[in-house]
Amino acid sequence: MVGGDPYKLVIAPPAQKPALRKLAAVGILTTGFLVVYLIAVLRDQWIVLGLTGLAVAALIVLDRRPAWKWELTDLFARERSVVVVSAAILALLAPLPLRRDPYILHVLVMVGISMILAIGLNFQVGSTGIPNLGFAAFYGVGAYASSLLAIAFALSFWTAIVLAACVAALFGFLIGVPSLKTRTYHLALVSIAFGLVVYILLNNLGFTGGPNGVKGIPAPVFLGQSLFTSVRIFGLAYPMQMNFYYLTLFFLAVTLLAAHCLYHSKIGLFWNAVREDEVAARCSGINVSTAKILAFCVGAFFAGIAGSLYAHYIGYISPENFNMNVSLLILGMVIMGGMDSVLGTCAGAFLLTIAPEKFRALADYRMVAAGMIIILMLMFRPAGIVPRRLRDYRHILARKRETGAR
Amino acid sequence: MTLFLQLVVAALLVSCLYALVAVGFTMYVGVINLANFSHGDACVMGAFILMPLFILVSSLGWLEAAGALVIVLLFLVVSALTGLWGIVIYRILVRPLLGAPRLILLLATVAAGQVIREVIRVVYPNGSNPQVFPRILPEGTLSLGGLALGHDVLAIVLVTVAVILGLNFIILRTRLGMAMRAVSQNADVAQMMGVNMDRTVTIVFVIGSALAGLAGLLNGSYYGITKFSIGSNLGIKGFSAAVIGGLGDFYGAIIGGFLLGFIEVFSAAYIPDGSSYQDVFSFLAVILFLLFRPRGILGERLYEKV
Repeated sequence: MVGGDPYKLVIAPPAQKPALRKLAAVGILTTGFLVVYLIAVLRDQWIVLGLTGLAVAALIVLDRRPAWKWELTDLFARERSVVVVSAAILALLAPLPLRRDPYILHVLVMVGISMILAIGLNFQVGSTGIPNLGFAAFYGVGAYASSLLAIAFALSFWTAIVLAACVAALFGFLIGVPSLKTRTYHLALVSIAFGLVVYILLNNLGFTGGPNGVKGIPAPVFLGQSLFTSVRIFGLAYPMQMNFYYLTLFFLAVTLLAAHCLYHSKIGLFWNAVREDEVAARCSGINVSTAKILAFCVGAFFAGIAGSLYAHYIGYISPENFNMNVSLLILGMVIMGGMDSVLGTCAGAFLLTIAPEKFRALADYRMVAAGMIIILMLMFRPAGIVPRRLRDYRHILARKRETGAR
Repeated sequence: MTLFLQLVVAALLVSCLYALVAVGFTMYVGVINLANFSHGDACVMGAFILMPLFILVSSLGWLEAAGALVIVLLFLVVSALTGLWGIVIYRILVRPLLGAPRLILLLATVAAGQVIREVIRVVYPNGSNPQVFPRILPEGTLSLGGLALGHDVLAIVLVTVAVILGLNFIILRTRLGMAMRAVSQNADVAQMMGVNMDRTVTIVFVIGSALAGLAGLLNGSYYGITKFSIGSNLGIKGFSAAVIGGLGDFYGAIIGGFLLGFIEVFSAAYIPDGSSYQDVFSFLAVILFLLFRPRGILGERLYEKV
């Protein structure tokens, strides 16, 4: 086909065999999913390393062959409904073979929570270019708000998680307002200071339980059933981690949907404009202040959701779960995966959550490794594992031309 | 009144430590507009380099032979070693990224700090726990009408003053200082006028890191204890002090360090239960400064060019 101009592929009319295309899309998706799934599930370090190497090699090949990459993205874009439905089915089926493996299920739950967190931070660091080095504060605020509200007022988990997300968003607003006056280094300092202040307050205030944290956070109840009890499906008993897998999956799906909609909305465009050039954005009639505060609030909102999920899943939280290292780890996920790329951010969250679990022997070095990875990524591939794509509106134009709409 | 004076002494001491960190921090910003977030961890590195050296020296029996001289030598050696680290971090990390967006460089230094911190924790024996720092400063107290002045306090203040005067001399009176100021004003023009920018910036990193090592030493020897993780806090305090004074301004960093030290000590002393929240007060002060005086105390008003 056309080697020189990859854009032509996007505008090209759909291929003649739609069934074949659908099959190809589902096949590629399933293969990719299987590789990721095996990386998550298998315990043998060398196989996991090999599979990761395979995935990296595939990415490198795609990088070297832009035409293939465009063909692939075009395929996925055109067969989007099929792809989304099959991805959902795969994600729903994934935990079923893991009946005897609550540990892996636990890791998968933590991966889901990390993904929500990383997407939340991505709104700020990736989309808007706000260097937030204290993101764990929002996570902590969400976790504490949810568990304290649930304990004090005997609220259900479902009420608590919504309230927690709103409280976290309020904190996002509170830190967003002073941040408007600052930029780059000063903004980084404000975010660090905010993270540390929240950490110190959690450690010292009376009602947060101080360094001992909060214990006995109630389990979520769904259809009259506590999620801490194991469930039976078709006569087979499943560990309670599976309940939380589906719970996390639900909230992850909500987050992904929100991220998708925001990216393709005007707000996402405004955020990107602010990141590229604030002055130019302002000149184009964008309200930079609103855009930035919105980025703070939205990011904090999802951090609050993640915090609430974590608190009600683990049942115990302490300030140490939300310290500076956690902020840096989430930042690492976003940088490693790819700033402003939702898929990349998820990949980064997946890898940085999985790696220490797979390489237990090296667990002591996990923060060293995370730091080294961030440095190496920044030096040699600053765009991340899955770089963000250029905003491309030609396919919309092409579609309009196809349908004859003006 | 004695309590008040005693607090002033304590605040002076904390201020000196902060000012040393802040001066190093502000130099990077002033010369190449880089906020080096690994600066605080370089301080801790200095402290952790000293401890094995001290054990070595005392096991050789040199301390008994010529105590004060050996201690001074140790200070110089540690500063030199952390200065070398400055070259490493500039050559490996900063220089390749100078062309990248500032956000990338900032994140890279954050990650570098994390690597230093964690390497110390993993490599140093029993590194996760707080380490007892050897007493290398003169002991004893000087009594001035009810006011107790520790010799160690005097030593720290003297060292700080000496270092700041020395730096001031370098910046104002030497060719190197002129080159630094030139690069800071306009790197391109400076290079056209024959300033070796690479060399100048390397030396800035050497000086900055050596200052960090020195600050770490003084910090550890005053508190008698150190830990791998205090670096981020120390670095952020230095950064805050630099911001309060006016980021990139040498004298501003000193003033900022003193302001921060006094805020911290006095809020801990006079506000009930303030010692748990002293960091909260200093960070609130920084945020207030950023809101109402974002250019700092000495910073000039700059208008952005479009």
